[in-house]
Amino acid sequence: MKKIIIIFVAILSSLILNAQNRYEKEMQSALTSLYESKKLQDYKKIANKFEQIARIKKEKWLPQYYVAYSYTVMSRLDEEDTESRDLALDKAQEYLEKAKNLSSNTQETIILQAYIFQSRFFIDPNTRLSSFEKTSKAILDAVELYPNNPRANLIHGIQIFHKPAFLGGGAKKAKPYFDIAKKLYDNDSQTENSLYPYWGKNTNDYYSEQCN
Amino acid sequence: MLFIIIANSFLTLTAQTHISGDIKNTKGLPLDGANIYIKDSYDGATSDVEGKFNFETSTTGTQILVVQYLGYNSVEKSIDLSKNNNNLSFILMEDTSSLEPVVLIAGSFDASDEKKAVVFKPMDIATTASASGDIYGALSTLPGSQTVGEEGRLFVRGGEAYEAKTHIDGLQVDVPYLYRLQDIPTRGRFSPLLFSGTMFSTGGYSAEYGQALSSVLLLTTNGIPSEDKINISLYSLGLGLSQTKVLKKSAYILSLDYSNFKPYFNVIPQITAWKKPPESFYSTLAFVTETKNDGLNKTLISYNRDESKILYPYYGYDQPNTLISLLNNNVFIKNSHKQYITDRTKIHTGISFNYDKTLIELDTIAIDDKLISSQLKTALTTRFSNKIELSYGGDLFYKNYKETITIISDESDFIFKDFQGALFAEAQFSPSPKLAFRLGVRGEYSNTLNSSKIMPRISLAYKINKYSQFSSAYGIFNQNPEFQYLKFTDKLDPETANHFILNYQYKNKNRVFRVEGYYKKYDNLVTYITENINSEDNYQNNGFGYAKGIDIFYRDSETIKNGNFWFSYSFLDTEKLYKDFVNSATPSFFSKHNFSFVYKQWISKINSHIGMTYTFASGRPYFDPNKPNELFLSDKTKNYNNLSINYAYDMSNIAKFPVTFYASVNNVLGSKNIFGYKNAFNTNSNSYDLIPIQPQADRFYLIALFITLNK
Repeated sequence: MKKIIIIFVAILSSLILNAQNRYEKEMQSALTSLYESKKLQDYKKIANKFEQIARIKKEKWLPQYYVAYSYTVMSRLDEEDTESRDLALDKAQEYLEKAKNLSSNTQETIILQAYIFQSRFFIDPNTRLSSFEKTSKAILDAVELYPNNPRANLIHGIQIFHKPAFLGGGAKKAKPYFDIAKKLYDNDSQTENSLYPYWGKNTNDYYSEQCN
Repeated sequence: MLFIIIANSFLTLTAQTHISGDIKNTKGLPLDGANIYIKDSYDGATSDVEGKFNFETSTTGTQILVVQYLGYNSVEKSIDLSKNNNNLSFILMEDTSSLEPVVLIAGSFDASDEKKAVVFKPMDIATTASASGDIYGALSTLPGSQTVGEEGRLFVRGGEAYEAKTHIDGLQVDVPYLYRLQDIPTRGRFSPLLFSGTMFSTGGYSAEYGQALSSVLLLTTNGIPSEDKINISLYSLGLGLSQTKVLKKSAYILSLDYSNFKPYFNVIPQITAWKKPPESFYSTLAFVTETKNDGLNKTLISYNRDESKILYPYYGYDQPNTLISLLNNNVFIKNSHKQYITDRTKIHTGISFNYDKTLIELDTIAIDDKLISSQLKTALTTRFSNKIELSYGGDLFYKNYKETITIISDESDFIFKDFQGALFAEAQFSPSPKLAFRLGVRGEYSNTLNSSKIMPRISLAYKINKYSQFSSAYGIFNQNPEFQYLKFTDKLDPETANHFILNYQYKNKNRVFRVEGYYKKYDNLVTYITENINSEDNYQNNGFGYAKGIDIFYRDSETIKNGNFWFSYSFLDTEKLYKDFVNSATPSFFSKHNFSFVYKQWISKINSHIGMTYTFASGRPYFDPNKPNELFLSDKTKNYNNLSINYAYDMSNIAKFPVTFYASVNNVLGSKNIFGYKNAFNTNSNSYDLIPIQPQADRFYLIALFITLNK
């Protein structure tokens, strides 16, 4: 009898363990694909995957966060259609709100929020001048709060990089931020195997190169 | 132990079922990137460019398959996994709730810098070639308003300049233009850079606004800037300095400007004989504070001093020119506050103060015009649901106008004082994203004129499909007569206009096409006889008239990369019997056909922005007193042509600090334009001489350097 109970408990726990593992496994594989993604189509795929995980794990902030992130990247890659870019960002914002509500980790959500604002602005900078102030403010706040986060520095760098030189922007002014971000990425204890946000290294390398 | 291994492997090695198919929209086009998944499982896939998908699932039995695509309605389908689930076909319908809701646009050009639905943007004003940085100059390239070269003010749909009112953050600006003598064009007092939003309405506007027969221009000042900076501008007419300072939850922007036309007029000859070319000093302080509950408090203080002297010819007489000197001092102060007072109700309050004093001296005559006015405003907006919104509030105005005319030492005063009160309520219903309508009413009372007016306003919009919509508006608009009449008599009634507007708009991405037809009926216009100018009974509300026409606008910022252009054409048919008219006629300001083409291009290779504006207007009527009364205002000037260009060059890379070079030429081709004719009796020939009214010079040049210093 005792033996049967032990076996029963073991099966049950393995079932629970399995479910837990399944989440980690799905996240892990999704993240691997995320960091390998290059084209818009890849990101669409990965956004769908994260969304599916997010739907099942409604209580976890990370899947919600990655849906928001994937859609933000999509809006940046889609060069043709203003409307669909805005639509993607609407979706990103929707999922970021979910992540904000679930997580006590405000660091990454604040930074992603700045990234979303920036993406929105970049869709059509000429016509969105008023959101420029809001965007700049969100980015400056993010860097001020988390000076040691590589992503905050990266986004700040991008903002300065694309700002016209007569407004105090340009590659030269942006370079220090990419340099800081590079150092922070290199010293980041997070690895690609962790579920914690790790994105931005390649983008940072790309911009660093542009500054040389 | 064995059990556990078996159990584990059983769980991971369950049977896999294959699912495949394709996804299209209602037009039969494949949807690439759609999400297909088994509900409440991790199993799913993304469709490829051909809309095809396939994946394996470990789930069994009857499951729900969900197909999802951004901007489309999701589809759910129950599937039995024991059967064949290959080659499933799905057709997705576009989600109409993601449709941009229909907007009430009849009569309005919105340039609020919001995410969507923008036709005209604040930046457009600063970069329109013919405008030379003037808000009103840029707006005159839009349909419905027209260029009146010797005025520089806004003339909207057969309405005179005084019929168009400017509001800053909801508060009326009584004297928005610089003071200029007759036949010399003016410009706006306020720099376009002060504002983040511009809403230009050419008719049918909301009940929130009154005291304007034709048009309102609603300007919204900037919010809190993001960083400190100092801007320096050096231009051929003067220099400007502005400092932006961001504090904890607030910011201020202080600007000082000085301009003097003297050096310019020394180089470029003008037809007017200037004794003292215009010299102006201009300063503004804008202070913005964030308050609790999403509140924003904005203060604007502006002071402007402007002085000039000209030698004015005595037409028709053999006398030397007379010296006319002009000195204007203007103060505008306003504070406005916006915040949520409950979850659903937003309050907007404001208070403003205008002070304007103009002193004109010629020979032994001195005319001293002084206006002191103030406005108190409260407006609330309550949102009951997505479908119903109610706005309500009121205004209190105080006006105190005094003109003192001194001839040698004989002084006479002409005074007009008035308290006005207004209440408005307006409900907006949007039963579906396709339909919206607004019903409003405004009541105005004027103490001195002893008049009360009730004005209904109605606006309606219906969306035909994703890209096109119809809108229409109707309203009654009243405006008290100008001080130039009220100073002689207060026995006048407000003038009245009724607007009927029908609008069609097509908007796809960054292309906008719109056509608007309108009919405007004027009543109670002030009439008088020039000979008895001082007599009180001379002024009556006996005038009337109409204006009707079609405005066409096409704007495209999609076709040309980094470039955009717009066309506007206005057809105007208007006649009035007002002022001292002997017959009903088209007033001398208005041309039948107006056409503008504006083009702007950013060329990143050479860090340059180029722009051009071409404006055409058919001839304007003028009065030849040598002809009989039946031919009153029946002559027409020749057509008006103006091609203007501008060029901005970002030379930061060369200069090693942020600096932009700017140059513009108005009327590059030097077309000899004639705005109209004045007349003067010639005692020698015993007939009237016609004197052409012309631009001050054929061309106008502007060169500038803009420098920005951060921190």
